[in-house]
Amino acid sequence: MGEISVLDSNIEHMVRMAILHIIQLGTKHGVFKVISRGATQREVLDSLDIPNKKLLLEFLNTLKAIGIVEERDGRLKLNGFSYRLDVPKNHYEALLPGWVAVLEEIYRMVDYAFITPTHPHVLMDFDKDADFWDIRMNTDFAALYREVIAKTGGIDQGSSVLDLGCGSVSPYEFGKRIGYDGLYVGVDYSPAILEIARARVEGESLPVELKELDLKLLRPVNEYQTTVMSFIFEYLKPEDYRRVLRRALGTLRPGGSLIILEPFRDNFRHIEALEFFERLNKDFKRFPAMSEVASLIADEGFDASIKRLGRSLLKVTLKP
Amino acid sequence: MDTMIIDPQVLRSIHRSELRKRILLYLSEIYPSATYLSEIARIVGSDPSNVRGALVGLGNRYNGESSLVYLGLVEEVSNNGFKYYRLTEYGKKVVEYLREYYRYYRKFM
Repeated sequence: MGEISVLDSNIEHMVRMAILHIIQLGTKHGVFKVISRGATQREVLDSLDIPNKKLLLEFLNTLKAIGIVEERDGRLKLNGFSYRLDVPKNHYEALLPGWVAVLEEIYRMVDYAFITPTHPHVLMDFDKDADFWDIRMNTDFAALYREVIAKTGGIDQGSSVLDLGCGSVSPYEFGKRIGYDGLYVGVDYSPAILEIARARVEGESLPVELKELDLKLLRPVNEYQTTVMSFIFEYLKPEDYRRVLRRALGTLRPGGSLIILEPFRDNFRHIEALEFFERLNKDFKRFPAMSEVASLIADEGFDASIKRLGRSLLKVTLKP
Repeated sequence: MDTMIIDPQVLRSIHRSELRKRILLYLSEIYPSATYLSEIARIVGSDPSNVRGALVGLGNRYNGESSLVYLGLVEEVSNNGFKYYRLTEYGKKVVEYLREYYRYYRKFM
């Protein structure tokens, strides 16, 4: 199995696990019990002893989006949702264990978030909980997607790379890869995440520049061989996609490539289950659709080719 | 080990405890060697009873559940009636993270 397929298989399995945990949460907190009595949404919200009603409402919306619950005549009903989890050999041999441990931590956080979104056991804020995010970006899964990005984007010795939403691990890993005759510029809006990235990079004196910046304010100045956007659209409002894409493409030199990596919502069924957990981060919006990102790029009129690689990767290459 | 759980709450708690941090850093310096309690106390400049508390817990003053041995960061090795302490693989990983997060914790915690 190729690396892109392994990446897709792992994302697919994250969604599958998330569905099971959604069912577990609904059972544990008595949500299904109340719904089975044919309650209205309001009655479900009022009768359950869950203080964070906003999160409970998001949970109900997730149940509806997945198809576990449907709303008929103003009442919520369990619709006999049936879900089959296969364990095929060719799928499981590609699974990476690292993300499971991280997602387990996130599943646990929901119980505390049901009490209050600011509970100290909810560790999803980019600044306050940059250590948790760093641990997440240090898993085998994160190492795999960095490898896929590097190979797809031709990131190697001497490359010039702009990484939009760089996080705390990529600057070090890509910095090592491009070596001292290359250039890596990492941009992120979290000062805490950048602080961890800086500590790592400075320890090795790598040729890496790090900038604290909101992507919406990006102004293309220099041109790069490769621009990377991995797991970043999910924190943007869809109405901002076009502007950010235009500017990201504007950072490329002729022949350069923009690499976009996302669990695209049109390629992963029931992705709303995973979104529910990711939404514990207050900045999370939704996973983008590959079709909407690709069509926005096509609309922008850049002389570029768009290549869909697997279910989670887009490569946009400007004509030389 | 990709499945090793590094709990940020544990890292933060150790970062706030100067003695536990100093013990871990010293055991990391001599890793994989083990050493005995009074030697650790001498190096980190603390009383042996405090060091024992940080390592294995001691009554009410040091909660056993937050001790370095209980958390799996340090292992106690008995040899010829003597007890020695050595950093575990997990403890080694935690020390690496503590070093990398030092500036972040100072600035943001």
